[in-house]
Amino acid sequence: MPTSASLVTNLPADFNTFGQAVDTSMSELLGGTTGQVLSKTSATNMDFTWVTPQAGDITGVTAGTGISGGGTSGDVTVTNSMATAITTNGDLIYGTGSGTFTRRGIGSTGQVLTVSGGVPAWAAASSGAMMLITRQTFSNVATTTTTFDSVFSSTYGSYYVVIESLYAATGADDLHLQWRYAGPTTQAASYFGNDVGVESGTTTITNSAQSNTAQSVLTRYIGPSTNPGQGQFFAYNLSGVSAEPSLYANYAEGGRGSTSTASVQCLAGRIYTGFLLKSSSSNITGTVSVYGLVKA
Amino acid sequence: MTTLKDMIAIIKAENPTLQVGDDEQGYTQLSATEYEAQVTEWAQGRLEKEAKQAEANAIANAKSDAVVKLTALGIDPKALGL
Repeated sequence: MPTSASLVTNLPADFNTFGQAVDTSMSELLGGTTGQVLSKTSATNMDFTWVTPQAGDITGVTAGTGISGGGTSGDVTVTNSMATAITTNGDLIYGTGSGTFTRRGIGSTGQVLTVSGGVPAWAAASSGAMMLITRQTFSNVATTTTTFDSVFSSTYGSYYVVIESLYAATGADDLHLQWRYAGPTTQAASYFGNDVGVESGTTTITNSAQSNTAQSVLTRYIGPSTNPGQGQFFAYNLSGVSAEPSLYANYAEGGRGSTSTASVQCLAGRIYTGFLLKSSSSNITGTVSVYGLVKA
Repeated sequence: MTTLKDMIAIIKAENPTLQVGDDEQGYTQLSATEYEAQVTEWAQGRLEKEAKQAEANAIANAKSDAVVKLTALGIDPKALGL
């Protein structure tokens, strides 16, 4: 029979048969103190213990700096306010005071980050500086069309271009350059100049004239994948105003060590914005860096 | 002698497809029209290069023959600038 302290689960059933044992397992629910919560003591049915909640249990979420949302009940939504302040590709976030911030939109090609009025701001590079505008690696491309578009601007007076580890599927191919202008459109005529090449191990010098050709020839031997070549060219009259650009190039192919020099002017005055490189008859692979020399 | 048509076929066999682009922007294949134009340009470029090489070889061979004949006649080729 239950005592006065027993907590029975089913009183009618327990008294159905006189004298039978009754289930007093719920007696563990007795006791406890104010603020305690019920916790399972083991996996056994009806095995409970009154415990005091541990410090650190979440009873509410309060938003802090850079965070919004929070609450004390139901589903809690927390938002990274710093991330949602970003609206556009290239945005930067900077502080505007204690716990506050705002976005700075991306600058234009060739600009550098400086300080204006106590906050970060984009501005033209200081006079006389040589700035890396872009450095791109390409593999097995028919031409570098689009890769070096929008690299020329009024920020710079002239350009220095470095060609590294360049090779063609047909190593004996010529390396061609064509200027590009708004559109973008490729300038495919009016190149005048010459290129001079010296074959490795010989004294033979080949001078090739370029007279109203479809492109500039930078070298007559790019080099194969086993021995990539390298070179550079200096280009000017590409400063954001209509002009006839010129270039002066040096190149050495790695396979035989042949060297070449080219000087080519394009007699079609335009506002040119970029260039493309290609070989005379096969795919090319390499890395090219474009530096701008800021106007004095 | 290789014709332009033959050279186009050779280059097409070497390059079933062609692409442009770079590691940063990604690569895209040329359209059928762009592909035909690029292959034709390459074929012309390769034929021009071969023709120039053949011309240079012919000049070198002619010079070599002349040197042999002049020497056989007892004339110093260097005296003639060869």
